Amino acid sequence: APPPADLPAAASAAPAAAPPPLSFAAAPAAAPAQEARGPTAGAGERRWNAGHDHEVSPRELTKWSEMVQFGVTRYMDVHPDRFRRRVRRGVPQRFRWLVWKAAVSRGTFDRDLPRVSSSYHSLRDVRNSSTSQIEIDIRRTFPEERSFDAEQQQRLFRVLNAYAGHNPDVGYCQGMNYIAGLLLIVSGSEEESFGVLCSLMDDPQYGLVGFYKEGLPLLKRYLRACDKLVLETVPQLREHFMKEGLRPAMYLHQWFLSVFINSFPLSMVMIIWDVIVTEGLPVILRIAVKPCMGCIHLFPRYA
Amino acid sequence: MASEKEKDQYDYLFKFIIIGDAGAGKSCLLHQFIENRYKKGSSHTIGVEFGSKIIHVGGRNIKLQIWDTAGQERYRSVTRSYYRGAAGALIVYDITNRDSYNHLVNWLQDARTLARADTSIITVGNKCDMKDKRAVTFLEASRCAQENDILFLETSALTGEGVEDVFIKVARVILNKIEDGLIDPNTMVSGTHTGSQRIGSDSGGEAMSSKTCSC
Repeated sequence: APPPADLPAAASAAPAAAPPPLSFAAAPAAAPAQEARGPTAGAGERRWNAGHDHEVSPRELTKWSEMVQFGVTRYMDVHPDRFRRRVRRGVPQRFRWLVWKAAVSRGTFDRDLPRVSSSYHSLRDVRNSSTSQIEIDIRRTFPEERSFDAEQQQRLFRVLNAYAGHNPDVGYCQGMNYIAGLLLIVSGSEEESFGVLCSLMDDPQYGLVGFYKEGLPLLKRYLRACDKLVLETVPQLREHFMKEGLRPAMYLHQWFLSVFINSFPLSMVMIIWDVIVTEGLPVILRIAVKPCMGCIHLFPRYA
Repeated sequence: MASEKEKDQYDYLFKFIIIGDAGAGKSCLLHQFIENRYKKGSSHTIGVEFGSKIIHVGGRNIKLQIWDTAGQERYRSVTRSYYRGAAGALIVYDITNRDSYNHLVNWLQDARTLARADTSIITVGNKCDMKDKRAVTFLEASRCAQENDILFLETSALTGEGVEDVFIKVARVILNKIEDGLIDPNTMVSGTHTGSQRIGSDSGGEAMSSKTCSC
């Protein structure tokens, strides 16, 4: 897995998805936009909504159409900075899955799909040691999301069951259900969701497997790195938290193990994920620090 | 309605932890206790969540600070750190799920070794509204609790049956221990008024037990 060691220096760089200040409480997907906005939110700031998508201007759509025509992977290589800047404004919904697939596979997704698909079909219905745990959790994934109906839950079951069969060392760990669920929401395809899930879990660029395997080794590493980053970025806030007995793990576990999916409104999650998928997992440290920086305004004596 | 000020007056602050297998209904139990209603369509807990409520026991106002932990086995290495200093522990199983009952001994051992030596423990058989799917009898669980010297009650987080009793029962035991001088309230998360004391549980660290589960 990529070492997050370089991140403290990067903390002062541009915020990932420029999320507005947030409270630490998990924001329900249906929360009115203004509730998720802190006291400093200005008129020009992005509004987060209960739907899946952010608003995209026709001009932005044209830009993305051109990028897609040029080839997403090629564009990432030829204009990496411009690509990153545009992704951080959010990939338009209609291009999102295309971009995610291109980013995780470096453009080889369609070539590999028949192989992935056949592996998926051989695994999805075979019971394994994680199956009963998965069965408990499929009804507890996106319970407030109307589109996540019984059929979608069955798709989720099959994708998770197939992954547990594909990688028995990891099997299933809570949190993975949100990732597979998000992939299904974005793609609408079980086979493709399975393919992208495998890449996110197993490829070193993401290495999410380290979050979920026995002992949660990568999670613990990220907790330490993030705590250090909070200490360097907002030392007063960290001190305040520690004084109140609020240790970083108490909010970071949920943020990291669900990779923010269960913690913020879905339209915000989508953009956070645009950034993670195209930039790699270490960026989650900077994303995690942003709400902490926003929180500082809630404590006037520190501001 | 009590005023904000009145609501925050309490004599003691007790830290409780809720542990037990995934899907046993720990979060729903907490939600029913705090909100007096069933939480429909809830997601599973990742890491830890919190709730607090002031209850009146034995003429005292007691604030319960409740730590609701994730149940999946793999999370145990991280959730264990939340046990420290807990004065009360609820070990929840699902009466329709034999496995969740069989794992009680493991949870009990965790609670006894990781919380406080004198933690008051109750085992809670949840989902008692699902009588036709029962896989663990009341008698069997009651006997096991007796053998292990812990309290026992059945609840339904769905209907609310028994839920408040669980919290009151444990709080009463702790209060008795304090009044009998068996627990020094200053060694645990405690306080007489809000705002003046720390909510942290650092003071519970010394209370590591040498006892192990007798099952």
